[in-house]
Amino acid sequence: MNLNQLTIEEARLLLDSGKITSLELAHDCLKRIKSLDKKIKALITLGEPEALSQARLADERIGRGEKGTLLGIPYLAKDNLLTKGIRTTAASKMLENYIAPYNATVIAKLEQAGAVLLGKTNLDEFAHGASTENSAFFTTKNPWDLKRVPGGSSGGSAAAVAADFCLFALGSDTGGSIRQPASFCSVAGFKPSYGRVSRHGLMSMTSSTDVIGPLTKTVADAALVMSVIAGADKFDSTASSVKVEDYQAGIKKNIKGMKLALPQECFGDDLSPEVRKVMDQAIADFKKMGAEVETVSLPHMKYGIPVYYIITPSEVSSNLARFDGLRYGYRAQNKKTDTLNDIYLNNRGEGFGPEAKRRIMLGTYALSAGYYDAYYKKAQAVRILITKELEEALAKYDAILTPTSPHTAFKIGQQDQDPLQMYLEDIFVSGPALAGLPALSVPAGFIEGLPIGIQIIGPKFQEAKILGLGAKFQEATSWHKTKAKI
Amino acid sequence: MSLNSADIKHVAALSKLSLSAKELKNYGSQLGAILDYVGQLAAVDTDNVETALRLGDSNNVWGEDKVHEWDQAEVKIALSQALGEQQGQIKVPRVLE
Repeated sequence: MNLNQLTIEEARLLLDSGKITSLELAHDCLKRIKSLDKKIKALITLGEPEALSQARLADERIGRGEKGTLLGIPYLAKDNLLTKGIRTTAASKMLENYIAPYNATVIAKLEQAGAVLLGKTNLDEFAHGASTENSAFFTTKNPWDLKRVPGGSSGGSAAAVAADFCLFALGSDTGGSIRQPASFCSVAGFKPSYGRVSRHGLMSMTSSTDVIGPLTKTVADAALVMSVIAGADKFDSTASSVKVEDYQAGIKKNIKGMKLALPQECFGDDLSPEVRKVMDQAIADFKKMGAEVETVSLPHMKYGIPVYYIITPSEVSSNLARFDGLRYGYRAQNKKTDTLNDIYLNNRGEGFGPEAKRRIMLGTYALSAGYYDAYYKKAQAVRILITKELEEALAKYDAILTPTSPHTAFKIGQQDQDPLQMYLEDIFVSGPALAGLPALSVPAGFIEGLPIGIQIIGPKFQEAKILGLGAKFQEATSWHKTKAKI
Repeated sequence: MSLNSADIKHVAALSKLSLSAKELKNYGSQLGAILDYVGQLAAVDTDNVETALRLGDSNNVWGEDKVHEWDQAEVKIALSQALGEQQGQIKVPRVLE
């Protein structure tokens, strides 16, 4: 077995018993990346020298008898997370050569824990998208079928974990960007509650829903990563001071007697029979483990996408206003720039890609005089209704189950000319994001050789319960053990 | 609903984006389709929803207004990103008209 195929749990045992070193682990991951990333194109930047020196450092720490959950474990980070000294591009021409002067809090926490950063993964530009086709550089391929997208926006991270380039990867989820690619690539993808993980150093997209979370080979591994990255942060006032649960203890809890809700709106006639079959099997597995499953109605859930595509562009238009190419970033060349306004117009017109421009304009429109009440204010009101509805259901039930995505990975180029069609990808994942709830996608089966996940949504700050349900599901099933043949 | 050429030009100007004629046309029809779709929210009864309500349990977080020295190595990286530099300062195009 090549070491890059290990889970974090497996590698931890081998590292602690001295059977392998962090350097060997990093070498195997780098070897795999170098031989296969020409095909997959999951990485924007490979940081080999930095990774090797971090691995040597981890080996020294292990040699001194230090114990640590992620000490010596190699990982990849989505390229919208700031990494000191290593390029952070957001997959945008605007920041093609940008090097951050400091680390995002999650990167700093992982460095302190001794995890080894191998490089940075591809995404839709500024995390706007569901396929990585909006990357200004290239599209990542799905390891299960190279003609298909890996999902997005954390598509590079999902593909990298599925292809065993690393032991885990970090993604960010604003309206499904960890869970949907996890479903498309057959890995575990966990979106923590809003505020559970510090956003400091994550490039802001939608500040009211952005969350950083892990993409891993198993749910148990996601719990391990969460134990290191969760918690309050003096650099992010929205990072909650609610006590971080003991995720390791949480995932061992018996799920017998737990009450799970199936929203009838997510299992209606428009759900394909193939997806329904996979979901029925997964639900039967939960029942077999002693969970009680009941159908509920969440009538406002269907408004998740229209709300999301008002709130998100509105916040995007504000957050991306900082990129003007005046001090750093992209500056247009050979253009007539008589006025300051010309400089802004040209730098931004050339530096941003089509989807970023669409969202900036949509948000600007929704927030502009005469439209604010009809769009933004209305969307905030419906967002509150969606949130209350989910919270009320989760007061009665331990978790809500839905498909993660209405279908398996689609073909590259199939819907990149139709932005509205692409937005509909978020149908099951936007609600929990708007409500700030923890939600997990777990591999639940295959349709014609392509993976699909089930989504488990839980009450705010009760990530242990959701991770526990996912971990028990993986004890009872083996979908996550099937690997893509590349 | 399709945004007409004047509407989309106005939004592009507010957005500080210079767009080609082709882009203006494309975005006009795409944004129109998206606005039609999100228009379904008008049907939701939100009369009794208090929109001033803040989501979640977050409160204001106060910090002392204190100057912290910035690590010189980090200053160096930050300045290395500048499109122009003079005597340790970022040099920008003329902004006063």
